[in-house]
Amino acid sequence: MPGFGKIQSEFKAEAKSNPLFAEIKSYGLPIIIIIVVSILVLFIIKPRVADIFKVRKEVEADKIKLASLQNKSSDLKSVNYSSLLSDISLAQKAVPSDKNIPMLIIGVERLAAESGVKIESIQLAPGDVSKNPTQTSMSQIDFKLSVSGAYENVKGFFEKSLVALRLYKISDFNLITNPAGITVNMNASAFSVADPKIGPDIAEPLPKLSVPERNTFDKIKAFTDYSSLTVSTSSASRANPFGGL
Amino acid sequence: MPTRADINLLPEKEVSKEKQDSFKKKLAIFSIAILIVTLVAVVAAFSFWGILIREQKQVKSSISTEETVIKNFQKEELASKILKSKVLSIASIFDLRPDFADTLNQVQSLIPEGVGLTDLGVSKDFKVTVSGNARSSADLSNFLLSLIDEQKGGKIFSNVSLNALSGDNAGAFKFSITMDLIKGVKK
Repeated sequence: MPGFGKIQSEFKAEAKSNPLFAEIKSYGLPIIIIIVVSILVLFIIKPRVADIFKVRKEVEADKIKLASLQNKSSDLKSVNYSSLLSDISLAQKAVPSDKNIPMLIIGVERLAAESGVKIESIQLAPGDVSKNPTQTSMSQIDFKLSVSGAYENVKGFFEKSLVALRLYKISDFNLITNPAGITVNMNASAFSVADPKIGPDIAEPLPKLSVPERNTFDKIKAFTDYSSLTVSTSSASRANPFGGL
Repeated sequence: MPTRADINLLPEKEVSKEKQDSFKKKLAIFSIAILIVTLVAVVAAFSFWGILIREQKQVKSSISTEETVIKNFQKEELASKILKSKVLSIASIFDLRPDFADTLNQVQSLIPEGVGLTDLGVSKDFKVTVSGNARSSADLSNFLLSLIDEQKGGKIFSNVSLNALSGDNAGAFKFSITMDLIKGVKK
């Protein structure tokens, strides 16, 4: 049986005598390298570069999120909570979270009294008056109001309605003169806005008042709160609920 | 006559073999260089990827820290949101509501001595209806002229139209006028 040394020497001799074999031998290294390089590029470099781009994109997005979170946390740290609560309390009187019909009626009555006009009638169909309404944005409480009085007082009523802390909007009116003075029938509205909730996106910027918004808010600081009377809740137990008042 | 450079003592076959050997040598060096570059690229790709992964971990950890801080300030965040929402609503209500006290003042300033109003109405679409009496045709025409005068009523009203007019034996008139409140003065 021939040994390994013999086979090797025969192989070398064959390589020397066969020019094709010699060619393959001299081009073998570059070919192997090309194959290795191709494998490296296709199966290692290319997927890794794709990973790099993906991770880089994620890192960029995370950095943006981090920056907005840092801004938000710094804003939150500088919030004056007690001043915020006092501002909310004022804004709450202008546009309460619920319809707050009793305060609306009291406010209109006091507004009329302060203006020197008499309320002839007030009609409203507020619907749900619960404290926890299902509304999600601003809702409008429409009512019809009829007041009478002297012209100056009626004009005063219109003026005061614009500076009442509970915000009203008079959409239209009809002013009729009569021997006793003037009667004005009007369609008006008050508003309520449900409190928003914290959204799922924690990176959402902290809402801040812009300068025009701050100016708008400052305006209502000078408004008159006609609804500030408190309503006494008497015990609801009457012997004959159908008897006269 | 051949120059010195053209004189080659080596046989042609040897020259060709020498060239071939030189090409093979260059090819081998070039392929090894490519292999080295590729290996360097592999190392660089892994290193860069590793750096990015480490950076991502750091950023994620910072995000988690900031989120914890923000969660501790939930009541401040909610209060800010409520205030913003209320103020936006207040601003939109301010934009919505007309200033009818001002409209009354404007109308009042346009009425001459001999004219008195009996009715005044403003509809939701800002159509103004005015009814009243005038002592004379001159008083009525004064009123109409002041309504359409660009320096007076023309600033507030447009499309002034005399809808009804009736006179009596004493020379007095009853009238009804409709007009549009100009947008700029509605608030």
